[in-house]
Amino acid sequence: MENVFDFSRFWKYFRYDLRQAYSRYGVNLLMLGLMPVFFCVVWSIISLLLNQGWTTPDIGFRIGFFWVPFIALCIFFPSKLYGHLTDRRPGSEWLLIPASRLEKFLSMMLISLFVIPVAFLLLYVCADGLLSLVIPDYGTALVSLNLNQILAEKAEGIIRLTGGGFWLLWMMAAEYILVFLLGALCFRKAKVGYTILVLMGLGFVTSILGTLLGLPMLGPAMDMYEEKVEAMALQFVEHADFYVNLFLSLRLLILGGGLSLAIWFRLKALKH
Amino acid sequence: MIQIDNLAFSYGAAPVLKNITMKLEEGRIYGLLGENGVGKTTLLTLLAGLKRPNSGIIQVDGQTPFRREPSLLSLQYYLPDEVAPVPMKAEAFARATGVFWPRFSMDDFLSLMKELETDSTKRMDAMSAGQLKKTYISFALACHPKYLYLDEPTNGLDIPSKSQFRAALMRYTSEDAVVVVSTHQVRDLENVIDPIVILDKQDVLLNASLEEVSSKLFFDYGQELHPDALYCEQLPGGFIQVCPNTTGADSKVNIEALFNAVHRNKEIVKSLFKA
Repeated sequence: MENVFDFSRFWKYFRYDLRQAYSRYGVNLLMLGLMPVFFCVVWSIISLLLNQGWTTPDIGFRIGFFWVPFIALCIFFPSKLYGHLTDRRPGSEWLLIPASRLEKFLSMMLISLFVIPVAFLLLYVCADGLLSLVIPDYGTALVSLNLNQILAEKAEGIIRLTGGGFWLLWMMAAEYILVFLLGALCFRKAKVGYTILVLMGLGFVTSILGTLLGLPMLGPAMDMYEEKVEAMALQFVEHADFYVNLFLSLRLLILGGGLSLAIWFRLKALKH
Repeated sequence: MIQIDNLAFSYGAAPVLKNITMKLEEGRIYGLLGENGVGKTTLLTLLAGLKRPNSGIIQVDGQTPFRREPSLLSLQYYLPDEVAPVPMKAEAFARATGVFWPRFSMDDFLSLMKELETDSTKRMDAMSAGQLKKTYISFALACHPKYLYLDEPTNGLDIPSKSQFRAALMRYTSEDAVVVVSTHQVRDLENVIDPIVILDKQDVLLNASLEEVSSKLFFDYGQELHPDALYCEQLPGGFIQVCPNTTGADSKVNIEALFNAVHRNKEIVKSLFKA
C-alpha cells in the first residue's frame, strides 16, 4: 500500500510539482492574469490616437476579452508544464522521482485543474477589480457581475447557472485542460497543433456519423413518439435550469472521467 | 543485489539484448563496456526501470524495476549521458529534488559541487554541458543511492574534473552500493571499476573482477613478442600483450587491452572464464 499512496510522500511530491510549475509557468501565468491591465492600456492608447480622447473598454468588450487569455491558458499551459515528460532527458528524470504513479497523477490533476485555473482567475479578477477601483470610467468589476441576473433578463429566468457561472467556467476550463494535457503527453512535437487537428478530425467524424446515423433514426422516432417528445420538450422548458446543469455536470463527469483515465494510462505507458 | 535472467530487449524488430544473464553484487563498482550499439545504455535504462524487458527477469533487491515503485526508486539513481537543463539554481534543484532520497545530504551536495569546482548558485539552464554534468554527478552522489547507474559519466568533463570525479565516486559511495558505470573512456575510470562487464551483441562476453582477470590473463608490458598473445599493441618503448596466464604470474590489468583481447577472441575468453 505504501508503494501506491503515502500521504507525506504525496505532500512532498505536490510541493515539488508546484515549485516546478512555478518555475516553468509562473511568469506566463502572471502575464495572463495581468491581461486586463495590458488590455486597458492598449485600448486607451488606441482611443487616444483615434478618437483624440481617453476611453476605457466597456463591460461587453471586457467580457469578450476575458476569453482570450482564458482559452490561451487552457490550451498552452498543459504542454508547458508537462509536455517535457515525452522528452527523453527530462521525462526519464520525472519517471524516476521516488513517488508513486498515483501520487504523480493526483498532483498533476490538482495543479492542472485547480491550482493554475484558480490562480489565473484570482489574478485576473484582482487586476480587473483594481482597475475598476483606480479608474473611475472603468465600470463594474467583472467579479461583481451577476451572470444569473443577466441570464434572467435575456432568457426569461429559465436557466440559472450553479455557482453564479463559475462552475460552468471551471467545467469548460477542465475539459479544455484535460484534452490538451492528454495531447501534451501523447505527442512528442507540436503538441497543441496536433491536439487541435485531432479535435477537428473527431468533430468532423462525429458530425458525419451524426448526420448519417442520427437523422434517419431520429426522424421515425419523432413520428412514433411525437406526443411523448412534445411532453418531454415542455418538461425540459419547465425545468431547463435543472436539465442544463445536469447535462453539463454529466458531460464533465463522463468526458473528464474518460480523459483522466486516458491520462492515467498514458502515464503508465511512458517509457524512455 | 541485482539478478538478471535471460533478459531480452528489442527496439521494434531490431533485437538489442538477448539472453543476458548476470548477477551484480553489493559493494562493487561495475564497469560496463562494449562497442557502440551493443545495448549498454539500454541495459542501464532497463535496470533503472525506464523500459520494460521483452522477456526475461530483472530483480533489484527482489523488486521489478519497471513497476517503478517508490521503495525501489528511492534506493536508486540513474544518471544519463545527456542531462536536462532545469530552469532553477543548482542549489534549489538539489534542495527540492533531494527530499525524495532518504539518504540525500545537502551538505554532501555542496561539498561535491565545491570539489568539482561548480557554482551551486548558478542557474542550471545557464550552465555549460560540463558544469551541468558535474551538478548532476554531485546530486547523484549526494543521494547516496544503493544502486547507482552512470551512463558515460566522464563525457564532457575536463581533465581535472575526471580525477575529481574518480575521487568523489570512491569517497561518496557507500559500502553496500552497487554502482554500474557504462563507459567508452576506460582510461578515465581505470583503478576505479572492478569488476568488468563486457557486453557484445546479444551476449555477455565477460563479467569478472580484476583479480579474476589477472589470474586468467597475463598483461605483458615487455619488448618480447609472445606467439600465443590474444592481443598485441605497440606502445612507445615496447608492447602491451594479453596472453592466457599459464604460470599464475601477477600483472596489472590494462582495461583497454583487455577489451580488445576479449573482442578479438570471444570464444577463447569465454571458455577461459567459464573454467
